[in-house]
Amino acid sequence: MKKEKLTARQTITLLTMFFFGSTGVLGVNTDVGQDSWLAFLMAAAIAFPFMLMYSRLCRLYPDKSFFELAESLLGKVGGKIVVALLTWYCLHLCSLVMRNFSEYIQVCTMPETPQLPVMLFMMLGVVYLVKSGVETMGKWSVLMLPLIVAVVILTVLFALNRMDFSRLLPIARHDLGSMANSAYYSVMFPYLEIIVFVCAFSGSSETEKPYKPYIAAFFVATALMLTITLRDTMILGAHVLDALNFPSYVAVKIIQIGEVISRIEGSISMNYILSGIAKCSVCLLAAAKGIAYLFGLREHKQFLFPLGLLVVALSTIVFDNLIQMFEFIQVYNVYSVPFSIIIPVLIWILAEFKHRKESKAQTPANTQA
Amino acid sequence: MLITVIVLAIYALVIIFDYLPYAKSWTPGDKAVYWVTLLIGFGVLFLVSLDVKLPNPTDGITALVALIFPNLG
Repeated sequence: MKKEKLTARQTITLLTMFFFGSTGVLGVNTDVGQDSWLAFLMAAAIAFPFMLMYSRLCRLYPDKSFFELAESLLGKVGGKIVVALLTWYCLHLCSLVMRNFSEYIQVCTMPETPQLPVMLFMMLGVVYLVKSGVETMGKWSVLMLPLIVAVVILTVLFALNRMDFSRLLPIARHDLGSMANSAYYSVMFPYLEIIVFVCAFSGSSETEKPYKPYIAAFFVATALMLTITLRDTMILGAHVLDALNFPSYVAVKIIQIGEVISRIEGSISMNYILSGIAKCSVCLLAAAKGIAYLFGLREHKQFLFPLGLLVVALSTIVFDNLIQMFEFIQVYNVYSVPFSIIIPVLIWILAEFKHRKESKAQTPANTQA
Repeated sequence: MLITVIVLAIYALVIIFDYLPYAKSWTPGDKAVYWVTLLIGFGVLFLVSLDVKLPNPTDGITALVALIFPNLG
């Protein structure tokens, strides 16, 4: 069976949508008020070396998945433990994202509708996308990302009459400690969640030079999220931004140009659903591959439906209410450290040592020949 | 009640269209993983649809994090 692969372009678009995912709905951290955009830029600078690290991992062993690499470096038992932990993280993240979106839909668009049917139907779409294969996911993302970018640009253009640039002032009012604390939130969510993408697609890239697609996606996603943060801050102001649960929706809701253009918040709901489906599908694919690897199954597509329904089940019980969902962000920034920093850095260091050893072993053999 | 019906309907459809046509070619391991994930998910969703309060995994994670960082818990 021919191994499905993502092209470089598909990697860029899918990874961008993955980064944009739930950040578009929840927004970036706003603890530092009008300096949130600066803190976000700091976060991007901190996260950039991690992008290089993941690109390097894919470059060192392009034909191995992250799970195979973990087992080859840590041994059978250590590898299985790491795979089990990452599989749980992917499943849990999928359920968190699903719950973020169902809460958003209930709070902003359909308050009378129970969340469970919304989650079920969203998951049906996610499972269908993942079952269709890696190439279909890639092609779908190539079609959808320009739509998302176009909506963001249009909302910025339409909102120009509502933006007040003085709401960004005074710039850099907050001390470095507060800015670094806010930046840390954005590093953990969404940048370092890239580990899920790597678990899903490592070993599935057509290109042997993964630096370009990973870094390109990083910059495109950063530009998108920065644009949204600036737009929301200039429309709403720092205090209102901090008080709202879904600031982007409210910011776009008040856009009005004459009597013709108004109530365009439906367009960004479409944006969020599309990026949410992309993020959930990547998480579900990674979890399915993890489970298949753990139990030695031939194919991960066989149990996508039950796994998707398990994610829906988990997402119904993961939070009691909306407040707990937002309070969990603080805990998430600590809870995700082993999965998104410790394990990937450990794997990378061991991979470098192993690669160096293999290169040295090959060199004397070549010299003798 | 309607939610329970929706849950039952979706699981019935999954078994009819996703399991029965393909299960003959699966190994016992494939079937075991399929049924375990299906049954766990079904159990939770069925109970949630009947408004039964289930344990929250977030409380466990928060308690674990609070052991290391007490001010976060």
